[in-house]
Amino acid sequence: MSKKMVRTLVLVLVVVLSFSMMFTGCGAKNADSTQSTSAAPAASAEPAPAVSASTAAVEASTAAEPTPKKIEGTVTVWIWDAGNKAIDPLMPAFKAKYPDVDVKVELLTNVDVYKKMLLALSAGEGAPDVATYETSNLAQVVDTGALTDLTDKVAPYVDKINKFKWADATKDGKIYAMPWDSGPVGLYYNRKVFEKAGYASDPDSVSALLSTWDKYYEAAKVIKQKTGSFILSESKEKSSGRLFQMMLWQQGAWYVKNDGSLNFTGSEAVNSLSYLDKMVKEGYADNAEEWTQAWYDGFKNGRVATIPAASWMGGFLSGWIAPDAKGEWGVAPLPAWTEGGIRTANDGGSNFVIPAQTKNLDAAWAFVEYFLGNDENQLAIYKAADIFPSLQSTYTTDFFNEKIDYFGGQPVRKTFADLVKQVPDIAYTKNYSIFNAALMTATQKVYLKNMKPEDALKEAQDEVQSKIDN
Amino acid sequence: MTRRFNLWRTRQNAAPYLFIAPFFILFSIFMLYPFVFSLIISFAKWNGIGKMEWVGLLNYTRLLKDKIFIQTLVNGVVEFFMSVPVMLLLALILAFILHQHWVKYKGFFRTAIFIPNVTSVVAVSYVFLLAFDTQYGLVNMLLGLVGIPQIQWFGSAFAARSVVVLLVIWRWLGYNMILMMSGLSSIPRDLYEAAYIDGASSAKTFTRITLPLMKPIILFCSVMSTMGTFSLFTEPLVLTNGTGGPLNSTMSTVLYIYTQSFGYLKMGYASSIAFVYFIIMFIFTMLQMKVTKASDK
Repeated sequence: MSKKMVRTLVLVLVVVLSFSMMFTGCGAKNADSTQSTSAAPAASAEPAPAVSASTAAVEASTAAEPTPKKIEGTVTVWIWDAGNKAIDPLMPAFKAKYPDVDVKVELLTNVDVYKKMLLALSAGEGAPDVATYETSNLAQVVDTGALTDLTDKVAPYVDKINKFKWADATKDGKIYAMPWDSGPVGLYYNRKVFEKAGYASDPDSVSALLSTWDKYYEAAKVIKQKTGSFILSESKEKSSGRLFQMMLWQQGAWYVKNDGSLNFTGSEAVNSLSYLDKMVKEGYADNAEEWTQAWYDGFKNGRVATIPAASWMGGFLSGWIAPDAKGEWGVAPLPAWTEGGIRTANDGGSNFVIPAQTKNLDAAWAFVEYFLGNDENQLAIYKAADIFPSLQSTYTTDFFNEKIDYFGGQPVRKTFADLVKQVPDIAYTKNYSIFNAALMTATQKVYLKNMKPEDALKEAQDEVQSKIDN
Repeated sequence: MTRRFNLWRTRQNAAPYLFIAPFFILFSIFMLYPFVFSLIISFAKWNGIGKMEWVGLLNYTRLLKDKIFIQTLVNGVVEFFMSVPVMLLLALILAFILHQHWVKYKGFFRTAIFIPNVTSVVAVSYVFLLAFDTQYGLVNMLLGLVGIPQIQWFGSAFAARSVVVLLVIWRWLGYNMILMMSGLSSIPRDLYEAAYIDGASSAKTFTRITLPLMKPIILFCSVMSTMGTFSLFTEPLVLTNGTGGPLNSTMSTVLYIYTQSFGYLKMGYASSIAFVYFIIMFIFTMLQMKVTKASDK
């Protein structure tokens, strides 16, 4: 009896195990198939004996044919809403140019794109043909090695696109993404508040008034005293660290040095956090978390006088944060660290990537190139959604000189086009999310616990160091 | 003849196993296989996509020195003591009151107290986030009416944990209350009648009959609540935007595992955290069961 029980138990176990084997087998098979596809071009290059003469001839003739391959099939695109709003009006024109390509747009938030992509890349199937990636998260996915090498395809654009966009797309000398937008940073300022504080409010005067961060600090005092407004927003409890990062980028520094060693305790980082700490502690920073109602209200009702932010902020301000404030805002360059220094940074920006899983590389690339590779479409996208092009040839078009009503007739596109040329060549790098999390904790230590910035940054560096290696 | 007979017997004996096989098949695919797989990758460095690189016990040795991981365990313990005793006591009291025959509209109260449990955690967490906003939140506004100055709810560890704990209690009180009510109604009525005839006071009835007979249910509730507190995820994720701030004071172990795996693509390291966490939870539950059993005797 017990023997039989054992036997049946074994039987059940065998069934169960074979099921799990099927699953592991599944994984193994997948690995095989990717291997065989990568081996396929090599195999077809040599006439294999098993292949009949006729098929070999057909292959040879298609290879020799000079006419371009017909581009057709379905292209699935993962994109977030703002991006889709920009490309959607251009879809009919795309369809006219590539009548045989069906574009299937799937709307996802940026965070969902990253999580879903990771699962799809890990599973070996389910990835789209094209996906939008923010530059801050790009190096991480490039590092997985599961994207298509686009080095040859983007070659004509390498010199035409802002240089700082390429570093995060590159691994071991190969390029895995096509840059979309850049985020040159300027200083948005509320003209009304400046006038109330007794300052001239035209962009040139403000630019001269706030030419350095020291002068910015002095202006903060005057503005606070005369108008009661804060000069900027920085949350004590929930800082995202973006302001700190802009300051770092502006100084041509980052969390890591070029040789890969950590740079949290470098003078640039310490200066930036000390400066922000001074603004917070002395009451010149509005304590509002980014992207919350309190933050928006600060810009709507003049409680906050300036926003150091990237070009895309203009679209958000006029679009939904403060649509009624027409004519109230202007844009000046960012204050410099020393007189005559660099007056901008980069914040954000995005790219298109093509996962290696795509079965339709030609159509996917056609899609990417159509939207990102020519002036006309890049300008249309900028116009539709304030997505600032990375393609430098667009900057000289008349479109950039247009006066913008929302900004009191200031041609702000021109302002940003001038600034983008100065952006230091910095990359987010693949461990950016670890750096950023450690930095956020450091800001809390400084703002809430009164820890010295250099100590908090040292602790952040130690924390990061223990994490990045494994 | 005999062979056939045996085969039939075997089949008959196999029948129960075949009936329970679906569970074990699903269990193997969705629980056992991932469990074993994650044990394996906890000894490797792996980004989830590329090649695995064996690192032996490196993940575990790093883990023991990881201040944030230790912080998450501390957070769990603190949040446990802040929430579970209060919640279970409240649940028991509410269940006891609602179990009394003189209470009217029982169904309404039961439903009202249980409803938070079936609402979406994400939605509720957002509501809490708005309510506990420092400048614009309803809570600070109400406190302001009685003269209490603005509290920075996410400015100190204690305040931030309080928000998380309040959310947990509000959400799980009804669930525990329902369990306790079912426990109460399973106690035979004649025991109470006998106690009544013997002249026992209602306090004595409660401590001598209700509590001892409720022990298994209370144990179950406390084990579930303990695990629940340590594996908080959505609440801190939404309330702190995934940062577990301030100063990692609301970072739960599970949120930390999630950050390491899906945020940083450190699948191996995340798995090693998951395993240490599993062992700690296992010991914790065993202890809890032992303590309750010991006090039984």
